[in-house]
Amino acid sequence: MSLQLEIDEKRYTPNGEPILSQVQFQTAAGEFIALVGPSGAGKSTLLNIVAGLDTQFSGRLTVDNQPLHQGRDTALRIGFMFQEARLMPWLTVLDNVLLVLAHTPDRVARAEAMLQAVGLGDALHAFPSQLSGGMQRRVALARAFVVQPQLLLMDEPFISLDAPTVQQLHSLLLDLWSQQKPTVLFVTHTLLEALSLADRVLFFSRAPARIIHQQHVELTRPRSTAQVSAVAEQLLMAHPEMLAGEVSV
Amino acid sequence: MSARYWPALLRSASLIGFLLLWQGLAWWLQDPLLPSPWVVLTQFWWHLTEGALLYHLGVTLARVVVIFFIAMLLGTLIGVLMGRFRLVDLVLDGLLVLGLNIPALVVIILCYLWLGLTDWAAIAAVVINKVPTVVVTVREGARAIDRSLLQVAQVFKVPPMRRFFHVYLPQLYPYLMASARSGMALIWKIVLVVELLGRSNGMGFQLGTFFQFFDITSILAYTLAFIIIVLCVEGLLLRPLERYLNRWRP
Repeated sequence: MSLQLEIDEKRYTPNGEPILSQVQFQTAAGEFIALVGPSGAGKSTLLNIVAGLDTQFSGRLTVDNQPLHQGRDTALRIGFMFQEARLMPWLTVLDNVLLVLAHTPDRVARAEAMLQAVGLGDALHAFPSQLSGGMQRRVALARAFVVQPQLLLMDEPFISLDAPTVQQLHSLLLDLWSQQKPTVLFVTHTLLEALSLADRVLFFSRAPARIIHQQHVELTRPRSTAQVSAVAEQLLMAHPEMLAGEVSV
Repeated sequence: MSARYWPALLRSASLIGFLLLWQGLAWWLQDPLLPSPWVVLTQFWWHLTEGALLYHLGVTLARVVVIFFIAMLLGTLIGVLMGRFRLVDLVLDGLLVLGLNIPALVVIILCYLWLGLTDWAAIAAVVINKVPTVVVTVREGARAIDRSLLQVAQVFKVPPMRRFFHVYLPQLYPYLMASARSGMALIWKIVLVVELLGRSNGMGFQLGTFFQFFDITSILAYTLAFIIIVLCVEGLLLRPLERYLNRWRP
């Protein structure tokens, strides 16, 4: 399975500045791709387009030469983790996960197993408001993986959490990813986060966003902070103009 | 006394105070136009056991229930459509303002003249009076729907029925509760007028009869039956339902 993105242009108003322009890339099956760029560069817009939430753009999204979205149908099972957890506050943790599962006899068992896997086995019947921010993200992570996505979209999913919590969520994410091997598009504005997670990092310019550089990261996982910092340093040396002031490290 | 009884105590304190004031006033005036609460209570008991109170109360209650569900369903449907689709909102807004402001009495008289003195005319009259107020409240709710949660449902391909009942409708609950509350009150009041004007049974019809005989004690006794029903609906249905729907709030 290979996803091909060709976005010619995306504008929010007919005569306004385009927010995306000539963004083209292709994914390999099971590849973890990080999208890095300054905030407001249209990375979230890009994910919304891929998810089918935003259809007002010119360009093509194809999976093995078939259109990704056709009417209400989507060629791939998609999981999405948003910037906020976006849980239904009136549903329990378990019901939030069950919400996205089709009616199969084993759905409750599957949801419970997935919540166990993210360490929420004791909080199945809690409501989101009773959970910490980190735990809410775990529910969102479970909801994204329980559908066994072929394509996982993540829009700065670990923003505004403390560093140890982010570390835990990173290793949890990598565990689940290596078990299920979805293709991941992970938007972040933090270079170190991108380098510590991804197989390939795409760098976006300011709006109208284009891809200005891509970097393959060959390091084996788990990657130490020292390794990641070294790669980041090399990148900054080689492309000071690209990253200066535009991407936080 | 433990803290959980305080709200109930405070709630009843105002009612008890009112009854004491009434009793005092009745003693002081000694006027047949103001029977004391005790006299009203014995009369209530007589109507309940010997009279036809239960029958008439049942008839009225049945009308209220039917009207309530029709008005809530219709009002919610129109309100959601108006909040969701600008075109529907533009088309129906004028009618809504008209519906909100047309006097209840006009609607009642017209329904009786056009549909005849039937139960359906009575029900239609009250429904027409109630629907616009539901629409206004629910429309506000539909406008305040959180799109970001609907996007979750869209991306994860949540089936339409589940999307409606678990993602969309819970966001409307506060608005539905508010219009259910004000709805109960309004429907009661108008149903009685409708019965007074054109039905030969029900609480409104009975009150009209008592009015002709200046039977103030019976009027107050029937009113007592209402108060009991209203308190039961509030305490046994609406408040527990509201607590259940709000159980997720911190």
